[in-house]
Amino acid sequence: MLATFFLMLREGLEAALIVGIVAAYLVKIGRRDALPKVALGVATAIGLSIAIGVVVTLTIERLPVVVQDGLEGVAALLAVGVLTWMLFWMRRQGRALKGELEHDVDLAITEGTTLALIGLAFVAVIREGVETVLFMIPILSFNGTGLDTVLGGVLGLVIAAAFGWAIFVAGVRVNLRRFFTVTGTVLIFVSAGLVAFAIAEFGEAGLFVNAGVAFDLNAVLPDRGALGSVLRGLFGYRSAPTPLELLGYVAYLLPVLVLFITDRPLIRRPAPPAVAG
Amino acid sequence: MSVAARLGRRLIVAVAPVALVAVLAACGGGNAASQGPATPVPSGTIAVEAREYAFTPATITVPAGAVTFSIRNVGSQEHEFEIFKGDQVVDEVEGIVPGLTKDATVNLAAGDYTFVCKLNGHDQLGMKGTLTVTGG
Repeated sequence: MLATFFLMLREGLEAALIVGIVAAYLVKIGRRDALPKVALGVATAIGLSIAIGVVVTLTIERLPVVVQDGLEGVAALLAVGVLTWMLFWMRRQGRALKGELEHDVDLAITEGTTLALIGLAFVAVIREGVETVLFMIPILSFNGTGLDTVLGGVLGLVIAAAFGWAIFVAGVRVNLRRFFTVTGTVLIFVSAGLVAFAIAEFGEAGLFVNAGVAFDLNAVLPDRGALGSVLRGLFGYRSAPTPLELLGYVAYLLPVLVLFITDRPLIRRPAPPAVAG
Repeated sequence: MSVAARLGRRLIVAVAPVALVAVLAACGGGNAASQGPATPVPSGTIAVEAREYAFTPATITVPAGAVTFSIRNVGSQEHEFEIFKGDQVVDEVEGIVPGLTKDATVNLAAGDYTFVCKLNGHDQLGMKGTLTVTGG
């Protein structure tokens, strides 16, 4: 039961986090009206995941490793692209606030931006959705497993969804400055994890050799243990990454984090000194 | 009107989990009877048992071509079954939770392979084996 619980929890956490942040963000910038569209995007992604999962199970049993890993790698990079764009877009919006307005700001948000946010929620869900369904179908068919195994999986998904809801509720409540800083920082770590994940998937698909171990924390904090599963689900934590995965993680994380921290979105910069003369 | 609606909603909320559990139980019960003592393994299928921390058998020899592995997790942790040729993944079966049996049909060319469970470094604890594919 516990094994299935953590399997489904780690599959669901990241999607729940991103959807929760996107939804809270839309509310904070006064676009509550876009929430049904986000819900539709999420529902479509779930429905499509189930459809793809069922069709794959019924026809070819499982996706060839090259196809599955290639697709997951592409989806991860796509998510990194939209997330990074969102980060810097938030930073720009934040700067426009000049640190004075903290709540209920009706920021100029174009239809394109709303669409991108809905698209992000969609990609976040379908990215893990197909794999989740492919994991869940054999479990649901009771192929040697019992009811507790099924319930463990369902409970894992429910807890993940509840976590997303909690992020949404908390996100709506905190002031905009804190919201920008906290979610921005969290999303940078999520993105860095996705970069490492994409490298792992492309390596398994055979695009390049991704072998070796940069460091090994399996004895201390295994990535499928209780805490490790949560960290893996949220930030792409791996207890024994390859050198290439570590490089990808750091190469994304450091510059983006430095840019984000050194150029804080909501702190008003001192006015430039008047030019003498 | 609104009271009736509220009552109706409450009823659904109360009944839904019960119904879900009942359906799940029915599914489980129906299948338990057909499970029998040992799942018969079709000929041409290699049955592999995964547990903490070993695969049984740990040495497999098969002729080249399509091979079906039937991996059963008889342990208490989640496991994976990954076939490697050198550093490259040839195929993998993930999400094998305790009790679950998962099949994987793999097309293999002659050569030497290894199979491992990379999850949480289980391979370093002994979850690995060698797979020899002989020429057809």
